[in-house]
Amino acid sequence: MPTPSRDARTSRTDSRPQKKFYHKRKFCRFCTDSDIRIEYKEPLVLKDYITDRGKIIPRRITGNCAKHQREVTVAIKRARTIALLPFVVSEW
Amino acid sequence: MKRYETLFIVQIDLPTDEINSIIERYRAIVTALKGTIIKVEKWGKRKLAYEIKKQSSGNYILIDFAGKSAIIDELERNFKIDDKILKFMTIMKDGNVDLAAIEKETQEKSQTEATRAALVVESRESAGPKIETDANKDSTSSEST
Repeated sequence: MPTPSRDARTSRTDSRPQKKFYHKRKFCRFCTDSDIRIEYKEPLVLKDYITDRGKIIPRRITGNCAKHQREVTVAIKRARTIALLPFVVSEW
Repeated sequence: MKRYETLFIVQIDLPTDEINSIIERYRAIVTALKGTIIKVEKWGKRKLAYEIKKQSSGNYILIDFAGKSAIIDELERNFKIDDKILKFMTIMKDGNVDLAAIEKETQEKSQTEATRAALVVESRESAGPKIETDANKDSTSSEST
């Protein structure tokens, strides 16, 4: 009796159209192009990695490598605590 | 010895003498607990990304020093007591530092700054006459057209 429900579940997932498109390979700006230091004291560099609402942009969109994305995240969070970057930008 | 960096925000409506006395007080705390101050930077007034204690701008000051962790406890205790300090943050920059390496760094930095200052002065002196000749050229071309 448990097996027919399992079959029903698998058939449902197969029929749904899968959104599989391969993301264009983006390069990590910090690895390749320049030797920009990732520091919480440089909000101009970090501003490229937050949205207009102040949220951190995920790595699959910016193209950072894992190591530099972690450094960027730590730097953004530090800059937020010292009021160099906002936590939230509210719309009037 | 560990290397730390402390960044704190002071109220803007204080006269510069008072700000200097505040900085001196914290420098004294660091040196009293046998720490070495590597650099002190004043960033000046900056607009804050969000309001802190109803203030929208603040005076940023950075102190880079090396020492034991007891210094940080003492500094932060004083930051919390002081009303004029809006926010502070301390970060560890390096886990293992010796005095010799720090002294080398400070000497190198001062040397590079001195050479940079000399170069700037030289370029200004050399650029003076050049600018005048360009201005003459521009004036003649405009007259012709």
